[in-house]
Amino acid sequence: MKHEIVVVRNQQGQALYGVLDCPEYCGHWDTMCILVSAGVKPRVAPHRLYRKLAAEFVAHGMPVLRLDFTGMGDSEGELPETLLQDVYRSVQSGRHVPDIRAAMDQLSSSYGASNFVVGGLCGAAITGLLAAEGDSRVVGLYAMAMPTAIVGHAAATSSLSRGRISAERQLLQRKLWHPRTWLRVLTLQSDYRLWWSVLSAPLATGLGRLFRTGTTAELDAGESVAAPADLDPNFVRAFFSLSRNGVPTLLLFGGGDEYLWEYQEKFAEPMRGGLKRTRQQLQVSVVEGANHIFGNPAWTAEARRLTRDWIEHRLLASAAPRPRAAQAVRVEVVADFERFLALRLDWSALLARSSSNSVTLTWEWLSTWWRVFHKARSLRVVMVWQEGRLIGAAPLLLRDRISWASGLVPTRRLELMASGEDFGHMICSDYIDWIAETGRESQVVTMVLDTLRRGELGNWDEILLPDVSIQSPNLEALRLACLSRNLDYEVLNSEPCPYINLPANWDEYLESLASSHRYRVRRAMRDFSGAGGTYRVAAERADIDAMLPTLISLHQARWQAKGEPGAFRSPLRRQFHELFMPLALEQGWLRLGVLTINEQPIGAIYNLRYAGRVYFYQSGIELQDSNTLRPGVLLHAHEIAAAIAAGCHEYDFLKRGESQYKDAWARASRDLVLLRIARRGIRGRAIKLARAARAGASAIKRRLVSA
Amino acid sequence: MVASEQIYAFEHLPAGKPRWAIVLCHACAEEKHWSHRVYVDFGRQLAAAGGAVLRIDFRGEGESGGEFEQASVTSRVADVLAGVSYLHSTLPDSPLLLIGHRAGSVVAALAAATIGPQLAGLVLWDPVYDGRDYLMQVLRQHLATQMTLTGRVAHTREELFSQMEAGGQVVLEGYGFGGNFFRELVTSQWVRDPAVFTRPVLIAEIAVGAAPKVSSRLAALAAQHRNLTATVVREPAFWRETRDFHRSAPQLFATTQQWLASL
Repeated sequence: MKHEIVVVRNQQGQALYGVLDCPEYCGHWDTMCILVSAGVKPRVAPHRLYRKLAAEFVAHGMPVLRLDFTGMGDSEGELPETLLQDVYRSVQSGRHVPDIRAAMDQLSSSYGASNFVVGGLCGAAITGLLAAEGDSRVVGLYAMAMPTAIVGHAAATSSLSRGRISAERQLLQRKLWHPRTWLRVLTLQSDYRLWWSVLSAPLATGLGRLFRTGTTAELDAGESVAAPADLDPNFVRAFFSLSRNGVPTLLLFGGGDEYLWEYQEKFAEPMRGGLKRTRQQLQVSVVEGANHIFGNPAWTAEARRLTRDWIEHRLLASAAPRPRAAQAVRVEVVADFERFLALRLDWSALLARSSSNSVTLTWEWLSTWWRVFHKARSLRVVMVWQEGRLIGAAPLLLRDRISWASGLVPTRRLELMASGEDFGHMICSDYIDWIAETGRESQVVTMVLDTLRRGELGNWDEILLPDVSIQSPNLEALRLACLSRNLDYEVLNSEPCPYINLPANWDEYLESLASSHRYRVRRAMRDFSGAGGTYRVAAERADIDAMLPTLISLHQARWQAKGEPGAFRSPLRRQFHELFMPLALEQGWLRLGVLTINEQPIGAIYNLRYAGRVYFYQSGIELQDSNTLRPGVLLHAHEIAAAIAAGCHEYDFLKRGESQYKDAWARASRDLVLLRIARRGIRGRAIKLARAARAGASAIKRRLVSA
Repeated sequence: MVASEQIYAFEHLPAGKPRWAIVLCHACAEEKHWSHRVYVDFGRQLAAAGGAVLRIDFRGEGESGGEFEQASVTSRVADVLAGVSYLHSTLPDSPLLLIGHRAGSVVAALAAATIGPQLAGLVLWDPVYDGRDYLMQVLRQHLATQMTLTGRVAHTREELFSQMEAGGQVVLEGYGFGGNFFRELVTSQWVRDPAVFTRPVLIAEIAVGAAPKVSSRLAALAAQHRNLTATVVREPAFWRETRDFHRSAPQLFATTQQWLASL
């Protein structure tokens, strides 16, 4: 989590200071949370409660702005009151609502947020509620220790809650044994009104409402009920207004807090008819034994757990955060390849704005792949548009034929484009993914998943997403979206990709290598140069025609000598690269290089240089065990040096597989994961069961064989 | 504490070249929060009077990194030194001073003894002379919480203090008191350290009575150190919850500013 200082200008132009707690990975968010001053305490809240609770929102992809109200904490402005009770009453009347609105405006313009969760503890809770009333940007109310009775109301002492009366009576009974109590009584220092209220409570109950004053509260249009005189009408009005709009609300109380008793007795009991209608969006949670500020690590931990529970099961599951977005954002399912071809410019621009910007997600790679591998597949690319701008895309396809999970259960599967080729024809498109503008991952993921759930891509049981970078922000967005949509989310396996963080110059890189490997590289370069060798990279179409066969023949000869089929045995694979290489050359991505000695090729490499990264895709080296020139070393040495000279930041060996030599070049590594998203229900369980049975059978078979 | 944790600080700067560069060392735990607006007001007033004030949050408190339970007096002194170093680098020509409030005064005094002659002055507001006395005061809040929640006092202050002495932790308003902070506070001997008093020092006690007097302990200290100005100002205990909303401490500020002007 990182922290940024944010300055919000209030209506008077005064600076309100806040700190934004946010995830490390991006700078634009759709939904943000605003927690404001609790009472008169600074924006961290008592015992830094907000810092701890903010972590729960941040963990779910929602940055939290903790803001000091005007005249509080570090913020500018002065409050006119001299008594705390007067400050609290002004806060309760909504004085600082404009501060929250100013913060929402600021966050919208600075971070692109359009949805907000607002609230905090006590005064912050009621201010959040009043700010939410009638403001469609508010998609959630997060309220701890919500005050429902008017602070300092004349009827407050005479209409004590039963919980308060019970607590006060207990206290009074103990105090009666202390001489200091009687001293206070005799010196007229005791709160006699309180004593009277506590002691007369049974009498008052017996005589009905004789000793109480009351009022009526508006539940809904035309509907009103009797209510205690000190029940805050602003709270009642705003509460039901919010519930009518379906805004998810968490009311979190300490079990030992007077505010809980007041809520229950002054609001929830008289209004129970109206409250029934809010069941869908309202969650009332109580931390047993906790005080007003949750001032104990166990209470804070429980408050965190309840907050997490609310975020996952109410806030993220609610439809409320999405209506605004739905007005401006639309989804298009592209099933026609011609339509996909027409989207080249939009696709490329989106990819460049995303965190998934890899060569295997380019329009060029995907369209080539589809041309070659479209058989028995239906295109189902989900595009997310906002006012003519492509903000996200999920390059999916649907298998025409039903596959059989472990040969037992028919499974309808959605896959990523550029994946799922039959064995022997695999293109190995590492770093494929869904694509979203940086910072809008959760919005895009949500919209795509909802489109899938509505069946707009046809029937499906599972989605397989292979070779997705573990660093992709889409993963967390997917996990959370699945969680709130009753979908299974599983990471089935992972494989490491070694890569080099390229330094500023070749010498620095050489120095970073182990001495033995450094020696090998230097020696190979010197010998190659001494032997009059040359290294040439394809610069035009004719070069591809000349060099690709060289690559293929060197590669195939070596692998077939080892009894392996080699990567270019498959005609589909060859076709793919024959089609893709000219496109890559045209874009300046292709690095097809050949090493020659005396005009005889001794090695060839096929790399792609894209967006500052070089992807090592394939190579072939001369089949001579006595070859002391080390063409394998030379190919990478030339390409790494060229990448550094071109200002690239990374050289990626892609999936490591069995190629341990990659570790000698690269110190860093990141995993690619295979992700499975599946519907739950009977079919989902059956598929899972079939897989588990198959895995179990394989394990037994292995044991029997080894025995 | 991890040394790389961030320290949050708020800087109040005057329009021109600062007459003083001051690091303000806040009170501890919830006393800091109740005093916050008073600190802000002091920073603004002093900036208006030509001084620069750096209000730092000690690690484990406010906006700074770390956890309260891991912080100690030593880590707080290190935070003050980081603040001093920052001010010295940005305002090299302005005389450096420290102001400490309540438990922050222990930190300020220990930091002053470390800094040496580079520090032009030290101001202590209602300082903690004795860590044990201070903690016994703070523990009073624990008793109030026990009474409110359970209607009885299950653990006396002496029992709670013993619990901390035995290495345990006592939670006061959400903060875990104990460990190194407790040990260092209780054993601190800053009042006996002559290195604290090698520059001008102002100790301003705070009292509410009509004609408050300096405590006998302060009077004794003043008799020992010629550099020490001992005074008492009439202000409410703005670091505690009272009926009033405390946004300023005019007597305390006036006394402090007069003393600063006399340097």
